[in-house]
Amino acid sequence: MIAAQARTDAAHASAVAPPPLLEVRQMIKDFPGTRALDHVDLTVRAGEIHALLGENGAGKSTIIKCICGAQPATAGEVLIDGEPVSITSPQEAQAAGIAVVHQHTNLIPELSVEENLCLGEPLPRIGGVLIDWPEVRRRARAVLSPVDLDISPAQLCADLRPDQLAMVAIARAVARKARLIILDEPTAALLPREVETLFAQMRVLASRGVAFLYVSHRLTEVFDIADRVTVLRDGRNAGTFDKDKMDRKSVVSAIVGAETALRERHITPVADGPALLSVKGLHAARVNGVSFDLRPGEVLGVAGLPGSGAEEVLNLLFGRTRLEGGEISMDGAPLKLRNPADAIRAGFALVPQDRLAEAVLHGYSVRENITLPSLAQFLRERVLRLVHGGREKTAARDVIARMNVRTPGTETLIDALSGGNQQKAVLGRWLTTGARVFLLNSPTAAVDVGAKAEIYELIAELAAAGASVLFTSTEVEEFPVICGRVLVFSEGRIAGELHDEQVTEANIMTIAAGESLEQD
Amino acid sequence: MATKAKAFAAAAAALSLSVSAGAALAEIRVGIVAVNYNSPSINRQVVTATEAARERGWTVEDYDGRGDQVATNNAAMAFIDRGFDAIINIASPNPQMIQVIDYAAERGVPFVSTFSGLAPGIVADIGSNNTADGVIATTELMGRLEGRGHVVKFNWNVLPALRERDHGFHATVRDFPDLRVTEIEVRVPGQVDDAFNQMTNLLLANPDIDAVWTGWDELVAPVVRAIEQAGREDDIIVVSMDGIPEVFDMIRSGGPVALTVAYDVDRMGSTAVAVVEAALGGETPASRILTLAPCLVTQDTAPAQGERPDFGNCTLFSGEAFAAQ
Amino acid sequence: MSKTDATAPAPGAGFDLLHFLARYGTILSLVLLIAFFSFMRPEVFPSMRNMFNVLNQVSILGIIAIGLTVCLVIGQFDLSIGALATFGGYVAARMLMEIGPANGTPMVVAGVVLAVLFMAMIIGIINGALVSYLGISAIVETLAMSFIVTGVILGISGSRTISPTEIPAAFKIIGQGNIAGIPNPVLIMIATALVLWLFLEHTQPGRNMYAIGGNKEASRLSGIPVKRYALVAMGICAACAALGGMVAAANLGAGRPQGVGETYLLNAFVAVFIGASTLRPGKFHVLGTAVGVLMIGVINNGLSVMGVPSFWQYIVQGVLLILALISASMMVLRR
Repeated sequence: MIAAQARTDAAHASAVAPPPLLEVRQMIKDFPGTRALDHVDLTVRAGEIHALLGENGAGKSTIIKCICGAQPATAGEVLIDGEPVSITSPQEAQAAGIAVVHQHTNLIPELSVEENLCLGEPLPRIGGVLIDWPEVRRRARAVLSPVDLDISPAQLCADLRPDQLAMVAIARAVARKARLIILDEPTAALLPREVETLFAQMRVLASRGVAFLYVSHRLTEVFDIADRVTVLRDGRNAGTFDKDKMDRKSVVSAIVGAETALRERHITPVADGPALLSVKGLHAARVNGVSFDLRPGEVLGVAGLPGSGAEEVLNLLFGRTRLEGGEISMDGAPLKLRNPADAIRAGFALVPQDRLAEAVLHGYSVRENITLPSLAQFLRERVLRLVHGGREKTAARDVIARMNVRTPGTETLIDALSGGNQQKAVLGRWLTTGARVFLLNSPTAAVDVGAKAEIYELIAELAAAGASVLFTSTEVEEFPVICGRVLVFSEGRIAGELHDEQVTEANIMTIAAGESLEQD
Repeated sequence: MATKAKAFAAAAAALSLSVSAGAALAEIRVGIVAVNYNSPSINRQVVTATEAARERGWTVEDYDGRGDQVATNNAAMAFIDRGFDAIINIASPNPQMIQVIDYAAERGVPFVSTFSGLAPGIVADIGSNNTADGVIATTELMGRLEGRGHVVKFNWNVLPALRERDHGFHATVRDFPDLRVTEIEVRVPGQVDDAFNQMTNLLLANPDIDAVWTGWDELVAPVVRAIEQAGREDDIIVVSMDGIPEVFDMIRSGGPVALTVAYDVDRMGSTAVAVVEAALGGETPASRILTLAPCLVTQDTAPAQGERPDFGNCTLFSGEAFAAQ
Repeated sequence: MSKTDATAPAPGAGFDLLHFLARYGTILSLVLLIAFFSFMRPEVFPSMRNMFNVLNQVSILGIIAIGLTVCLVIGQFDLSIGALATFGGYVAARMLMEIGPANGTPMVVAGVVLAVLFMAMIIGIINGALVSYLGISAIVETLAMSFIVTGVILGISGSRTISPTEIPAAFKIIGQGNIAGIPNPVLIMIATALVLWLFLEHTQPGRNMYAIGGNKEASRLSGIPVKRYALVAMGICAACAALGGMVAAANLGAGRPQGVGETYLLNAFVAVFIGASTLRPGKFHVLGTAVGVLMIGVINNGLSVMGVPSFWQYIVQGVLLILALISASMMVLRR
């Protein structure tokens, strides 16, 4: 019925206007056990900047992969200019005029811009043998000229700024006759200024008829640039908004579903009292004179753009990176933190940002992942250091229960759990080490919405039990949810401190961008 | 290319210019190459050849191929390029050094080898008559077994000298139809451990084994160990070839090892130098193969602990002792 | 509900042959090989004596391979084990020769064995230090160390083998004696396997080593001194290699300065990698290594008992290794 409806609509549209550049009809993608895309429709018109929004796991990456042929769709149609097409490989996608630019681009850092622009194409040759480098450079200039980039083709890609890299990738796509450029989180690593440059150039290209399908988490940017927005939730269409109908509230509620889910605060009031952790004049490679106190039961946010020093403070406190100056004391006693082992002994716990690379022991059981830092507590004796399997298992079971990790058992491989449950196990491994200060770096990265709320709840419980939490995240909207106080970093310093009602996404972004709050 | 006896001519010229003879001879430089220096008998030959050459006032440089034939060849080529007057090859198969031998011949540099087999273009290969030695060891064994029974043969047919011994073995056993032969090609490297394991397995699988013929003495100790472990030291005999001190000890002490055909390794090295000297003087031996007499070492003729057989007065035939009486 | 349910494919798949083969393929082929050889030579192969013989023949390889397992658990290669096996056998024989075979009482022999193990462990610790603290590639560093060790042994030995008469009987018992009919090398292998199995699976340091092999950064962030464990692992690996070399020397009653370790080096890697495709695909563990070692021993013994030429032993071993690796990689590919 719906499909028939859509077809009628399309037929109707073609009568009055040219067909859309890209049209996805009723796309289904099944993975074993789950349906990642459930009858999804998506339309992108020529010359339009179209944002694709949704929580992690909503189906954004899946639909992109299905459109560009990286994965076959289970069912559904893809039409280009109203004609059904079948795209099963990157080559066919390129032929159809579709190009994908990933967050880390597809450029090889060790090669120059001109070499990257030639990748995958026959190089001009002198006499059919030697590479004709002047010709390579001439072609590279021709590729770069429409996007107004002030770089030399001979520069190494490793030396370019992230926005320049993104533009080189876009320029390459345009040169290869791409009419639809899919941008997968292009701004994740960009500074505000760089985002501006990128957007300005995107608008220029859009005015010439190039369409962009743009995936991002940063809502503010989306409102800034997008002509239209499509929201996916749990693999289904959750709404499409034209420019004039885009308002923050309805888009957010489309993303999160129940409107209360994201905005519900998990903040426990902090009793006045002496500081648990005290940091004075912290100096390191990317941190310049940082001081703050952390009280028992407090969830303190440290916010900032990548490289601002916020994340670095967590690494310094955990002995991951070298401290050049400053004092750290716990309960008034000074600490010397040379490595993570020192930090753990002192009562710190860290949940690193990249769960898969830095936290999870792949191929090992949930139990082994939970007891990783605390094995020493389950020894039968101190000489041979034999581990008491029963006590270890009991402790693991205890953590699983307290953290509400959903797993068939203690011996299940951690890789078999969902991201949220893996993260709960990773957080839970610190319950047995006697940690008093939890350093949490994006603890909800790549977990689903439900697990996010659970993790916020767990953080609040930790704080309520008297632990202190130092929290940072790449997703700014999280700070108002769980932090009663936020330190905003800019260029290695604390640029501002926000309390209670002041903790808003907008305030944090403003200070992080190096501006001051307007007094009202 | 000027002369095949460049050094000789140079020495003569030097003498005529009334420079001291010692200094003139010191200009002779010999390069010694060995594909694997660390085999004990190869090592002995290098040492004795070096001593013999130094006694003549020559300069010697040696090269250890450490098992790498290509590197050995390159080293020999480099000696020739550097103007060395002769090349001595210790036990690196000549058929694999044809390129070097041709190059040496082209440049008039004598190429003398020991235990390396025949190849066109060499001055001579000094060695033992391995085929004959294989015949003698096998004949002695047949005599002891009365031409019957089950013999296990351990060998490694990759090395020319060992292959020749193998020919001698086969030529002899062909006429004994009642003899059963199990042939084992050992794994090299790891030959010692492999010989031990294979012998142990064979003893388990074949209770009828009467004797073992090992292609070279290094395999005797592991084979004897396996025999002793199986408790068969009184009814299995072992014969071998080479003549290393360890085997002399075993023969003397009267274990399963009945005999070995021993070579005078020391004389091989010094003889190679003598052949080089002759070649530099323009004399080439009539045969490309020069063989030296070995000794038959049995319990009766085994040398005292730490001594070498008296190669000048020993015999190769078991009846000699009776014949002499 | 079984412990491994979570790794099983989607429900409803029923019996999964690939999954079964990845775990039990090597054990199955070991059983099939034993059955085959027993059928071909029923009077010889399955005998108790031959079973001990197989164990005896793989004991040296077993000791070395089990040590290597520890090293691979933390994700480091050790190519110096061959040279260290030669080192162990020669140095022990040489020290006993210098002391004099007549003075070689069991106490003296025990002292020499411990001293050699200690020296080997020091070499292993140097390997570990260079690899972990300077970040040199373990493959190249241990290869370089093997050259040094080989050179030193050749230098001090003058390429001369130490003969049985120069080695005291108390030392040779290590390789030639037996207790209750079980050959000593087999007992030493079993003891080594038991100790290292207990160490890796049931002690905190062993579990930490698995963690390091699983995820180095996660281990470091859990307070595990990752670099120090490289020293421990490579020290244990080196000591096992030297122990294997000493058993080899005692077994043949000869201190050989060359040609001892080379064969064990590659076979040890073969055994350990067969082991990593057994029971726990993709992980190195002592039990798996033991299966790999037995497989090599059974192939070599079985074919030689059948009178098959040795070139077949190489071929069969190579084919089985490839099959084992394929069965393990099928699991990985499917993920």
